[in-house]
Amino acid sequence: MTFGRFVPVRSVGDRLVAFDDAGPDFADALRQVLDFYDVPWREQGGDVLVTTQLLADLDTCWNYTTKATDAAWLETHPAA
Amino acid sequence: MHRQRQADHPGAGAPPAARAAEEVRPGLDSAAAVLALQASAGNQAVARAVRTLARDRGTPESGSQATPDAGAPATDAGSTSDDPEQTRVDAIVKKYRDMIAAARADGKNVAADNLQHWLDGKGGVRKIDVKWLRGFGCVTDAEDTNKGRFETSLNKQANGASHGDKKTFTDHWDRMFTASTRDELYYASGTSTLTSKGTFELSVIENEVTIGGTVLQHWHDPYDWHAGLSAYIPGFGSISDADALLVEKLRGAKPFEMEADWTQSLSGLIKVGKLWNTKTFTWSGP
Repeated sequence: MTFGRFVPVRSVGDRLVAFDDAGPDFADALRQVLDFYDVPWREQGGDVLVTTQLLADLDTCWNYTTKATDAAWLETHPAA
Repeated sequence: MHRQRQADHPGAGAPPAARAAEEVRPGLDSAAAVLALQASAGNQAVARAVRTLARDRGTPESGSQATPDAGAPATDAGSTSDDPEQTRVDAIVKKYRDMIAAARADGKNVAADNLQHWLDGKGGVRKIDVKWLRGFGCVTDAEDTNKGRFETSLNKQANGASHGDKKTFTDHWDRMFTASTRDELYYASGTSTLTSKGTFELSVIENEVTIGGTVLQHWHDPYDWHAGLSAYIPGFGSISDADALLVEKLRGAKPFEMEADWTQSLSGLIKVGKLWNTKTFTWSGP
């Protein structure tokens, strides 16, 4: 498996677009989301790395981004 | 909505509708050709071809001039002004009306109704028939994607459960998808999103986890247009959404939301094993 840096993905109209604008708390929240779904990740210099297979799946990255920025979801879905 | 946004996806290339427009463009001057195009390619292709044709005829690009009848209801009246912009909008609106008629003649009533709703400036929310919507494979594929996501999570929940446990699991997933250019949904909507919200009850007896729950399926898509978005048509260059936005600006056409809602149920049994789990999931509902 090869890994690459996770970049937040958001919907813009009908498109899913990667925005390299993660805030300071995003990495912690993303790790919680990934752990909740048993998604493998690594860390490098403060960046969260995920498989390139996941990075190619913009739809799933969009869902993970949404959840990592949803305080209510994070509160009710703690990592095991 | 709008298919040509796909052209802005990295590597997406020209959208199918744009290609269809290019293929039929030479005959578009006749009503028969419009009907033929509608039959073979659908509304979007007609729209793109109409826009391309308008550009080729040297009509001015839109949007820069304010006009006194901004906000007025859309009309297909013939040209009543010497203002080139008004004349152009008259032509665009008439073509939209032709497209609506052609779509209805071809049985594509939802696509026609959507375009009519937008052109009439009704706004608001338009409910789309669930049976019609679910008749398209891309919609049920989106359902299946989200169902699979729930099933994966439920299996994980089962792995972490203990004898006697009873718990509720909730989650939600979005699936964005684009209809096939062969389907009316492509011309009625294009790209849309299915949001699935699931609530499940798990009860555990020894190594068996019994699951029951429901998923609220909410399909949604704004029927709108966006400045700056475009499709590349080989030989014609970039085609923008400016024409539709001009009709909104000058004739009161108005974006609206499309929605559909339905509920599906899940019953399942997961037998947690030492090496793997045996899973049975049964979905019911529309």
